[in-house]
Order: sequence, then structure tokens, then C-alpha cells
Amino acid sequence: MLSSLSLADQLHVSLKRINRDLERIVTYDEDLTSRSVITRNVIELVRAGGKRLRPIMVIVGSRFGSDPENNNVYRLASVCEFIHAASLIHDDILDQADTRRGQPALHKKTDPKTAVFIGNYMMCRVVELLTEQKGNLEDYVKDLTAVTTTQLCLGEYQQMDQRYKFDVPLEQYWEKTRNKTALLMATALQLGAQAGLADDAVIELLHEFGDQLGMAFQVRDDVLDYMQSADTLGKPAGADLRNGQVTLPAMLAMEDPYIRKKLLQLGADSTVEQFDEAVGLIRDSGALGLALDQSQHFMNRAWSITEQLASYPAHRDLQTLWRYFEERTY
Amino acid sequence: MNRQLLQETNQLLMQELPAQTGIHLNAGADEPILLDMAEVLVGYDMEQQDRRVLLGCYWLLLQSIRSHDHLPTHPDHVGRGVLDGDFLQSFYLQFALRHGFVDLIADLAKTMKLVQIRRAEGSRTIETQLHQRLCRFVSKRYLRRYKSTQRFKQVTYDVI
Repeated sequence: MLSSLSLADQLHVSLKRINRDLERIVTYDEDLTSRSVITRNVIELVRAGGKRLRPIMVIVGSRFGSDPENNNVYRLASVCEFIHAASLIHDDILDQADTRRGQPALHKKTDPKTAVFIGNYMMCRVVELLTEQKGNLEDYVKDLTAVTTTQLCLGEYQQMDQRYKFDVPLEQYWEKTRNKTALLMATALQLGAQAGLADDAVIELLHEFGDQLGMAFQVRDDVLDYMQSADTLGKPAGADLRNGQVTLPAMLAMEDPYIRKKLLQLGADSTVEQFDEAVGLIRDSGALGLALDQSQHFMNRAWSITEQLASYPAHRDLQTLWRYFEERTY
Repeated sequence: MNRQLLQETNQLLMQELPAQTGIHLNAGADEPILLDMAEVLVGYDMEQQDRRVLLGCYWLLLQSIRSHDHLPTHPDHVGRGVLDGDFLQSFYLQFALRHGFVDLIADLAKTMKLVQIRRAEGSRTIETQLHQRLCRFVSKRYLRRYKSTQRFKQVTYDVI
């Protein structure tokens, strides 16, 4: 059943506290002045809002432990979102995006170089905060800073290298999807569970739940790119293909030799009409349905994990998360 | 000896850098700074592998700063420079952790943050602090191999 409440409200997570903590990461930095280009822009970025999925996942993960929602958990929740926000600044430069959440992208408000250094500042500030902690926070530093950001970059390299190379094996698509999307969700739940002192076996299951949810989310996103109209998406259908990115629907459609031949003829200099034709072929091939089946396969696995964790009251929160992703149409 | 350490460090980094990034480490204009750091490291009693790792961390940080300093102006090419700088910065963390230098990350964290603040605010004269901070880390963690009557020269570099 669709809920009219926001995800945070359904899960009793205080977005107000998350947003306050996010702002404090900057405003409590004694090395910045209030007039600094960094302070102003990062605060604007935080206030522009967002779904805050990652901090929500950190908090939900902690509910599987013996010390849920402690101060460390909230600190990690805001750090996760901060890293995500920093990566979006650089993503917008890479994608040459003009807007973000209805406002000019940061590199448009400033310039690419300043935006890059603001994103860098955010990453470095996170490292500084985490390394100031004692005890097992060293583990969180490892998970957060070493794994996620490096893997995010590798996902981008893979995407860049595969531009207009439509003949790539399926394994590469899964690897790219995992690096770009699923890993951060898995890490968010894992970190929350660790900080909340959950058992190792539970932490592992939560990591897998986040991974499966992230994979399903990205596949569905890739399908929506073909399914929805330009009016809904704010960009032409099949924008990924037009940008030289092959995603699951196109890969599945290419099992038809005719479509395969057509797609392999596309390149950076192909016309809009050629891309329109290719998008039409993919849409009519049945590949979108097959891709959605694959997404559902990930969702089913994620659901089965929630059932494995049924002895924990927080498993219902996972199911709420699951429903949120299941109902997401855009 | 310093040059040999530089070569060994390059080899170590190239072994560990994922091939898919296509990044080739090139000391380039930073070679004098790296050689100075190599000289500092050789002056302390430590395993050769520690020298390689410490110099490697310094090299990764310098090259990540350079990648972002020298972004191409053409929008179609800027992405690669951004990505290389991002990757090197995060790879530095991975590299330091892998070789047991989490305390180095903690020690350099504030300085690295200051580098980004100064850059965002338009200043480019902070590398000296990074050099000094790394020297301080080394002097706290290791003993000198010999008593030196001469002070290591103060390094101040113009940024290219």
C-alpha cells in the first residue's frame, strides 16, 4: 500500500537532526570563516534537500544492534550523506549537468575548479572528523573513505571507458552498477549496524540487503530511462544510450542480431534519428520486461533477507525501505 | 640512492594502481620535491618498504592536487582530470591503510583539508605545509640514522 508519509516519517527518522548535523560539519569547522566560498555553498547544498536515503539506511542498520541510534550512528549517518553530496558535485562536472535539485549545479554557480575543490574539501573534512575519533572508528574510516570513494571512481572509469562501446559483457555492467550505486547503500547499512553493535552475521546480511536493493534500484533506473517520456524525465528517452552508455535493456535487446547490428553502428557522431530508431527497437524488443524481471530478482532476494532477520523488530524497517524502492516510479 | 627510492616507489604504486584507471604516475615537475622527501626518508632508520610507502603517499597526494589544479578548460575533457584527481586522493587512503599507515592519514587529514580550502579560495601556496607535516610525522615515528649537524633545508616551492 502506498503511504503518504515520507520515508523518514515512516521510519521515525529525524531528518531535522540529520540536516542539522550536516550543517554542523561545516559550521563547526574552525578552519572556515562564515564568508568562505565553501561555507556558503555547502550550506546551500545541504538546504537544497534530498531524499537522505543513505543516512536513513545507516540509522535503520543500527537498529539491529544492542546500542541503536547512538551518537556515533548519527555522526556516521551525516558523514555518509556528506560523502554522497561531495560525489554529486563531481558527478555534475563529469556529466556536464547544468542543474541539481532545481538549482544551478555548483560548478555553474562557481566554476569547475572551485567546485572540484569544494567537493574535495567535503571529502577531506570527513576524513578529518573520522580520524579524530578513537577506538574502532578506524574500521569505519576503512569502509567509508577507502572502499566507497575508490569504487565510485572505478565505476566512473568503467563508464568513461565504455562510452559508445556497446559490445561489453554483462559482467562489466554488473560490476559498474555495483561500484556506482549498490556499494554505498550496502556500506550505509553495514556501518549503521556496526556502530549499533550488531552481530557480524547480521551485519553481513544487511550489507547484502543494501547491495541487492541498490542493484535493483539501478536496473530499474536504467529501464525507466527508456520507458518514460521526455516530459517526465526532463531529457529524451534513452538518454543513457545517446550519451554512449550501454545499460541492461540495450544489452538484452542486443541478443537479437538485427538490433545488435544496429546498435553497434552507433557512435558519437550518429544522428538523433539513428538514436531514436535504436531506442524504439529496444523498447519494442521485450528487453525492458526482461530487465525488470532481473530487477525483481534482486528485490526478491532482498525481501528474503528481511525474512531471515524476522526475529529483529527492525526487520519491518527494512521492509519499509523495500516497499519504498518497490513503489518508486521515478 | 634517492633516485633509486623514487623508482622503487613508482614501481610499487604502478603495481597497485588498478590498470583500468589508465593513470601513469609521472614525477614531472614535482621530481625535486619528491627527491627532497626521499632524502629525508633515507635519513631515518626504517624499513625500505616504509620509505616506499611514505614516499608513495606523498606522490599520490601531490599528483591528485596537480590533476585538479590543471583541469583542461574544454568541458568535454575536464571530466578525466576531475576523476583522476578524485581517484588518486581516495587511492592514497587505500594505499596508506593497506600498508598500515592509518596514523599517517590522521596526521595529514587537517593539512589536506587546508590544501582544499586554500585552493577553493584561490590560493595555491600550501604544499610546503604538506611537506613539513610529513617530515614531522617521520621524525615522530622513526629515529634518525645518524646525527646530523646540518639541518634539512627548508623547502619552499613555487607551484607550477
